[in-house]
Amino acid sequence: MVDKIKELARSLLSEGKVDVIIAYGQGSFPFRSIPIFIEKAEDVDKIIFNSFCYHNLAKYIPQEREKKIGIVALGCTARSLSILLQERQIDRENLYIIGVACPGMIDFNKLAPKVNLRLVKEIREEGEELVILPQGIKLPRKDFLYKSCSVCSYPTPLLYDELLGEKREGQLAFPDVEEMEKLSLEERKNYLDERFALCIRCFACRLSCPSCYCKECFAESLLPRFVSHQITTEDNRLFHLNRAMHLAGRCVSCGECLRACPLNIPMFDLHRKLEKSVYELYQYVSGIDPSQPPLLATYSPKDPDLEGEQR
Amino acid sequence: MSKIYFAREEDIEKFLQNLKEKMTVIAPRNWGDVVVYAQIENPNEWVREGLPVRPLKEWFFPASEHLFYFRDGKIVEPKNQDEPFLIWGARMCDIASLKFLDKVFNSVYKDPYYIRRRELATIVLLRCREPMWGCFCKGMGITEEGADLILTPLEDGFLIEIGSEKGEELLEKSGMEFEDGEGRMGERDEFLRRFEGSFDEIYDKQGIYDFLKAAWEHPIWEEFARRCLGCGICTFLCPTCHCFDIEDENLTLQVGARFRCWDTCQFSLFTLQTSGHNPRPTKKERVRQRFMHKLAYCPERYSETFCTGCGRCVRLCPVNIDIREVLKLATAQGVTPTGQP
Repeated sequence: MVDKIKELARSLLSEGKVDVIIAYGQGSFPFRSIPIFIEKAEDVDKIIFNSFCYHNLAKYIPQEREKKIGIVALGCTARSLSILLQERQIDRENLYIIGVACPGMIDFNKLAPKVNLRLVKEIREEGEELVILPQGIKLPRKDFLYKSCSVCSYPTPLLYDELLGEKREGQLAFPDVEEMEKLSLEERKNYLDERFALCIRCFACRLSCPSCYCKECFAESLLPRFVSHQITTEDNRLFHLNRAMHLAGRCVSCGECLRACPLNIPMFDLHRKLEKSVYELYQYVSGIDPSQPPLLATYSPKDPDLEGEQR
Repeated sequence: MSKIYFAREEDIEKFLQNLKEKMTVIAPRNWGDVVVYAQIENPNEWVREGLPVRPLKEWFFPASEHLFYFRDGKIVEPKNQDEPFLIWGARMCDIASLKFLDKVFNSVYKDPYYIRRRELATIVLLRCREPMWGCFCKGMGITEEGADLILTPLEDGFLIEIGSEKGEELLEKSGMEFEDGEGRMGERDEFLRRFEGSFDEIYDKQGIYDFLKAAWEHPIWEEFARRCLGCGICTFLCPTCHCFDIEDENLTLQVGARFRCWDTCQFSLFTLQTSGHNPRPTKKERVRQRFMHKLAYCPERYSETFCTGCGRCVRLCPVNIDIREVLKLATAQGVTPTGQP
């Protein structure tokens, strides 16, 4: 896989089809990757691809958009690119999408109870198994996936110029949301508030989100002031609920917010609930068709009228 | 020569129960699926392994606090912490950070809120059994200075060493009589030897300073900045970062409040001026500022390198911007194995 990515990246760069390739490189631990920006064909060997390449690289599109961009896109990344195309944040002709059928990424924090991460020197992937070295511990991949990957609907990119890897089918289902819907409104509020209390508003959720590209976020607006700079549960709740509303029909459930959050605030649950609502109300799935207008930019007289209904 | 005690698990539980009736007890505890320093309800719910995600500084310098309220020309001061409290089971890197913060909040400028909480707190250190991935406290030369009591976890209980008079008073206050622990100092030494042997690198602080003073345009800032998301994780969760903002929130001109809250050099608003000019206009300047402040400006101003090696920024940065890369660049020739300076 990684060799094919490198080969493609090398030819795109040397033929001048792109100015930069946004890809994954090795981080400072065997189980961490970093987003890298390759501008010279001779640097393509810095590219890696493994089960720890979890970033949604579409985040970097606005920052790099003056250039012709090649980008390594997982299923979720490709959906984010669709959103950015729908919202006119980039031109399709300036984008070369190296689609990679995603095997689901591994949450290294879930490995911590099983292996002493400090001592890990190498992680090999043998089929559906992770082999942790030097300890020699073997672990099944499927038990350590990120939450977002375990409920992924489109692991294989829907939008690409070249597709690499073995296609995998996902399922458009919301088992996680259905679980939460069993809770009463009161229980949901208590669960969320307990977690919101921990939020320090570092804005990692917003800043890692490919759909959050506003130059001025409502959360930082001074005039008018929507959210106080005080760190209280109420202001934290206000921030997360507002941000979630801004992502209706725009969130692709890549889970980047949850991965970025240092305190595991479950904002992902809010986004998933919205994704389900959007699907049930408008039969709309975000990021699967770049030619569609954005959901909230459309109106139909047939749109369901929810007045008086409690959802 | 102060005494050394030994306490079994059940003695510690009773000890904390007794103290809990007299004062607030803060300790590392589970909150959802993360560990933070928070008030404990039960004397056995404190977490012994790992490092709380939010640093200890928040109990002295909270994420936000009201300074006063005003109504119809009258100023009302809020009821801040005014009772003695206990920090139980704090880790060495976090306690060390307070020594640094003291130089900021209690030297030229006297910060009454911080100083009051420092006076009220008694701090008990729990020695780490081993470093977590990304920890490098020994590499930064961090010591146990600042702990009022020092706990070493042994197989069947805890060795208790006294670090200060406050610590001794705490033992008296608990009304407990612990066994003599002098005979178990050998186990403690073995514990420390194993802990210290688990660090690969020590860093040369002078070398780091010299490097940074000449590294204003080093390519690493652009490399970091390009992938940096610009979030506040590395600074908000740093035990030594101490920047804050002061704001008034007015309901009307007659009614309102003044508060302060954590602020971070990683946000573009941090340096945005009313004119619209921003002296740190891009991520490059902001990323650089973080390293410069900790590793170059603080040594100049406070004679301390403001990094305790807690590793939070290393573990939690979503894009793996690793401060040790800067430390390694700086000490490229000076990195030596532990114990062989």
